Amino acid sequence: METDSLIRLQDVKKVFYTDEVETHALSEVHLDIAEGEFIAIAGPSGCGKTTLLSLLGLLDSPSSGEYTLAGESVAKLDATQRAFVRNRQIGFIFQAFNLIGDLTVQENVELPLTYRKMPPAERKKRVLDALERVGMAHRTGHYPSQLSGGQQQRVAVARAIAGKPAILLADEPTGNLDSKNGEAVMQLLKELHGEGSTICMVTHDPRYAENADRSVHLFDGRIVRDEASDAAHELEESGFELH
Amino acid sequence: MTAIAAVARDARHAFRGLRRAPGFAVPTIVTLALGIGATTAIMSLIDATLLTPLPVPAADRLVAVFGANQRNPYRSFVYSDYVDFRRDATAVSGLAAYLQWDLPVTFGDRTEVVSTALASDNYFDVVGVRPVFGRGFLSEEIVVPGEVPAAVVGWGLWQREFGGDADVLGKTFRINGTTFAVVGVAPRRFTGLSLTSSADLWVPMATYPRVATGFFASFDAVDYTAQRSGRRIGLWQVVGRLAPGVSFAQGQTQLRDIAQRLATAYPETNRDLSVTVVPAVTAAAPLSSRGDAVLFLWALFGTVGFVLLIGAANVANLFLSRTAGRRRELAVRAAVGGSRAHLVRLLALESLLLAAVGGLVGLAVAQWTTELLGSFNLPGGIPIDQLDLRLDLRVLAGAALLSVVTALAFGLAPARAVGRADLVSGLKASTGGDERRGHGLRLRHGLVAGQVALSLALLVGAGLFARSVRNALHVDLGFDPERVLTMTVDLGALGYEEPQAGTFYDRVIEQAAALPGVQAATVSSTPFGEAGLGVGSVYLRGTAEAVEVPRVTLARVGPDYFATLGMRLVDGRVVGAADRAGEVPVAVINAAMARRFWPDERAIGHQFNFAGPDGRFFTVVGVVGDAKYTSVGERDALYVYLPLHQHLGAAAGDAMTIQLRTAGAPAAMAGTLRALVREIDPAVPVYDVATLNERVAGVLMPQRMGRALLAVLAGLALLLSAVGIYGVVSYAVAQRTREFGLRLALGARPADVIGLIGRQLLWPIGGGLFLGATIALVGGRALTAFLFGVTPTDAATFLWTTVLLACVACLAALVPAVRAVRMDPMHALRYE
Repeated sequence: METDSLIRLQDVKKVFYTDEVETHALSEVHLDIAEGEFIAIAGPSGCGKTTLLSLLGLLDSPSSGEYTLAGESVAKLDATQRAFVRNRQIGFIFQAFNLIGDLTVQENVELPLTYRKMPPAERKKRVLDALERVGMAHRTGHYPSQLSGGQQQRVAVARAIAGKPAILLADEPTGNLDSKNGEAVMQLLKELHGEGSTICMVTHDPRYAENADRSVHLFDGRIVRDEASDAAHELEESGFELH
Repeated sequence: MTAIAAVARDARHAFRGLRRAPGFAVPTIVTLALGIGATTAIMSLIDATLLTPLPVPAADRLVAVFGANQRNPYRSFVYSDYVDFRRDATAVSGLAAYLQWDLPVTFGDRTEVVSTALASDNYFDVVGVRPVFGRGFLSEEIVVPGEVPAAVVGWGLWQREFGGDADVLGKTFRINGTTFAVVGVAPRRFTGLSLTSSADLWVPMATYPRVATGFFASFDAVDYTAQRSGRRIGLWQVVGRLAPGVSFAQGQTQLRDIAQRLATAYPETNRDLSVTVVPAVTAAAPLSSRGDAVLFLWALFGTVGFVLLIGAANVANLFLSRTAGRRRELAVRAAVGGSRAHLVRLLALESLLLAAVGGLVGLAVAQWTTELLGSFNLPGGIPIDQLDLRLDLRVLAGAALLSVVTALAFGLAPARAVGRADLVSGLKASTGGDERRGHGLRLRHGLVAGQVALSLALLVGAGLFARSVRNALHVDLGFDPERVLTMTVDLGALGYEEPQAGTFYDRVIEQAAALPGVQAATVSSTPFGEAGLGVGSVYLRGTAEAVEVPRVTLARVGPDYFATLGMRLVDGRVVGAADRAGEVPVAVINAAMARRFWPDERAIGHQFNFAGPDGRFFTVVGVVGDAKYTSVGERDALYVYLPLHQHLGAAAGDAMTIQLRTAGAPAAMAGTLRALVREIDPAVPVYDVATLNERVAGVLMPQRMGRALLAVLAGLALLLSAVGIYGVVSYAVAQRTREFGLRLALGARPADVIGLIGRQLLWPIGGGLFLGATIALVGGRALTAFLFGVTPTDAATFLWTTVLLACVACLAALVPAVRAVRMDPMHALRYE
């Protein structure tokens, strides 16, 4: 067994049951993500990209298989322990930003830190650092509804990095943004990666997938290709429709 | 971060979240407040009336003791029996007697009618009340009244007549010419042992011969020698305090044993006489009508409980809507590391905040409702404004707890959802996901059905009361209550002799009848709504044995009485000016009396009396139509009208009511009549000024109270139900906006979409109406005692209330449905 993987999935399956229908969302997924790696997950609609990201983010549990995060098996953690791991180890960036409308920019970024027993002064410093890092320190008192989509996503990135997680999980982070704002967010992710962050990003845009060190391609719930990202465009030419 | 800081932060967030969601927070708070307020007020009323009506220490150890025979289980005691029981009863640590009357009391040059209790020396000791100033009665005051008898004034009288002066002790006033000196002031909350009449003054029972007037002055109710001289009229209420360690049953047994011994020792007066012992808290409400009061109060409580349940269903619905709208927020909180405990804390704080604000506003509602209730009387004539009606903190806490539980139960639902690992869908949720076929919608429909059911039950109740009042107002009273003014005067304290009293009434009637705008004037001893003097035995001329009847009421009436009241003469003649003392004693009877005693012949010329074969007989000279005397629901009451001038002996000392029929508004004549009486004798106390219509309305108080309260509560229930239905439909429409847009884009007509929404509500509303009708059918039986001229299953009431509720429900559903179909289909298709 390799020991330098930050994330390791071994023979992971995810089956959804609705009424009498059994849907195999993921099958026989084996995946290793090393610390400091930037990985893009691509594939057609319904191939299991988001399901995989949800499993990685402990938002959902695999039906079978082993999931090891930072050397610790997380498959059998209870809800409270999973919340603890999410809070300490994982930072989320969503396509729809998912900022809380009732909270200010500062409070949104502070939110994951409030679930830790962290002194207020340190909390405040981390929030400001994160907001400065994404260029939003001047909007701390604003509410999400007062920001543009690009600004909201930058705040969401700040929230994700404020807790200094082991890995950032980004689910189509540019999906709701125009190209200019999309580029800006991707640039931000690249910079974070350059500073050593481990990033796992679901994207359907090959241009953004190219920013990753590595692309994992899913089809019908299985990993059909796992390669360096400079070959991503070849995959598109080979007939895969990336959404 | 400390836990306190975390809670404070969550509380801040919860407050801000609620402030930003007024569409949720305001109706929730209003619903909680109305439910908490109304329940607290009604429970406080029940508490003050039934549970803890007596503000005395260890009230549960006080027992009321009544004489009892086969005809009447609640007879008052004759003095000598009281003395015997007091001497022999060891099961009680003390046995006190009292008699409560309205007496004209003169303070300086002004006379006021004061509810006065003549009480035994041990009264305050037995009751357990210690005057706040001065003392109670001394034992010697029972036997040898001093030259200036002692008196304990009530708190209200002390404030009113003595300005709350701390130096009140020793100050004097007069009753019936006798001067009394204040020796103590009763505590503020203590107003005697009766809910129907608050005592404001206590004087020693030994002063009975000095203060009794009129009929009651004709015999000695305080026989110090306790020689049973054939007196049969008992006046005294008796109350005892059970001795330590003695149970109620033991006390009852001993008192019955004593009654048995007395029956053996004094067979002439005490044969067949036993005792009835009841807890004093029970006897505080009139025992004859206590059942009605109890039933009425619990029916009222049930009604308020319905409103509380409807409110709870509304709160649940509001929370469910908010829950659906917050799935994404909570999923985000969970995704960034919030555990279920964190989410529960946040949601609980929000719920508690709402419950707290709702509780505070509810307190104000309860206070307001309590004040509103003060304008009503309960069945049995219990005036609510005289009750010690205080907001019961236990009840408030109970209602608040229910609200908190409701708020928590439904407010914490999102935390449960988060725990069910649907974070992924939560993060994608727009307006809450599609629960159209899910448990959530079924629950919401169930809540709507419940609301509709309870609302219909309340509406039916309100409808039945409304019809009762309407029927009662249209019933043939046997007299014409329009444009009649009544005013009571009391010559009792003024020492009038018979001729003087006769002259006084003649002058009043003559001068009043001559007033401009007055069509007729008269005087009578028993105005409508008052029970008056009653007897149970009637002797017919030529028979030795009395005919026992439930009651014959005797009224002394002046000339022109029947004309003034607009009563119908059936046979013979009415009482006239010529029927004076010294002439043949005559009587006018009502038709029921004629039917009862002379069913197959004319009553005119027959003779009867109440004293026996050796007494003076009255000759029937007229028969008048039956009327209503004390309530609009009574039937076949036996009534005898005696000429005032042939019975002045009693009338000279009794209160009498002047009655004027006016051409215009009768109330406008009150000042003129009062001035007229003052002109004839300024010392005569005048009180109970009211129009006859007001007196009629007074006896309809339970029905009016029922109608008013049920109308308010049913209106509230209707409003809450409408809000609930509106909320459910709005939510369902929001859930299906995209679907409706698609249907409209594909060519559906607006009516098709509205029909689609309507069909979804068919079952909850239809089922609710059916259930509500069933509840109303079953529960309506409890209202039978308060209904008049309408049955609890009155089809018309059921029909129109059902139609009303159905219309309101349709309207509540139609508003969001119409809004949905007016939406641009393209907007709907883009709807997130």
